[in-house]
Amino acid sequence: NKGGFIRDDDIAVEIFIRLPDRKSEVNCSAVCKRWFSIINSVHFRNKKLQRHHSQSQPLPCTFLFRYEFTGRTFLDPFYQYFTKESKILHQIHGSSSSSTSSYLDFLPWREVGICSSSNDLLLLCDEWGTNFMICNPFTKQWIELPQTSHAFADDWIW
Amino acid sequence: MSSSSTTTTTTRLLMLKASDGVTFEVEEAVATKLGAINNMVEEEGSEDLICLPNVNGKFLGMVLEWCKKHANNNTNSDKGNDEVNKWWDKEFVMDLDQNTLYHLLMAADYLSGTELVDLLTEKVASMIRGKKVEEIRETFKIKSDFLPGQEEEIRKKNSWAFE
Repeated sequence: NKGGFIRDDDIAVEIFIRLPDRKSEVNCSAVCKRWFSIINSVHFRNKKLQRHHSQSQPLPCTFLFRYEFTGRTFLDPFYQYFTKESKILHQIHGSSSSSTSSYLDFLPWREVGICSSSNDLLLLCDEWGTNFMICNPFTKQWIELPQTSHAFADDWIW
Repeated sequence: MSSSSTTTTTTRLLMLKASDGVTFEVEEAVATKLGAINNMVEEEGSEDLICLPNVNGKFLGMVLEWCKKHANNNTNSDKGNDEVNKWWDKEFVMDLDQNTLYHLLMAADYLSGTELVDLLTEKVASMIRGKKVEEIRETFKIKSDFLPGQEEEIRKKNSWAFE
């Protein structure tokens, strides 16, 4: 009786795309092998996106960042605009000074600037503004982007 | 629902025969809420008896009950209809046990009752929502088949989701 009563893969996909957040999906993926492969499949991702588009629902974790740049130091992003729910998701509850500084501390770079956000992804740059990476703060995954040409990097205005 | 089948024969009755021989007499307008029946009616035209060897009478009856409610509510073009349908849907899925839910979902899927599949999958998703892994396994009677260490690895990689 693998997968309980959700035996049919197509039905399983239909059910999982109706889960409201990534947290529920990840928990499902740890239930059994079959659920894991369904939730991590490209098919599932595509169906999920399709559903969001067709219902014109906002993606679950869209957020807005504002940050300040003074001299050569990046300040931490301002978190007061986060909803309570996002704060819990981002684990930035508690006193602001200690918790915000550990916000993106899983990254390999000492300091990061947030250039842009799209859905639940952030575009980050290093302190010199020459290297970039895309990061998912929810899943704590990141990938460095290939180096841009110097000409382009110089045009980046700070 | 195609316009041709509704305008020409609004009160035409269809006989639906379930796998266990139980038959249901339903208005065409009701039965064609199911995509599969609609296709059969359009393809076969004159055929009044439709055999459904994959659906048991008990669940076919429930699916048709749902179709009937929605077909009736949709005919009187009242603004409150959406609300009525929603309320009725909620009642419909509220006390379903897992076995019934499963067979109903299979029946709705087989009969291409898109809206009903939507309602039922939404119900199952609500049974998963916010639950921990162990609770989900308990709810759906699933045994973990991960090799030793595999589940720990998933948890470690996504520790934020398991707090």
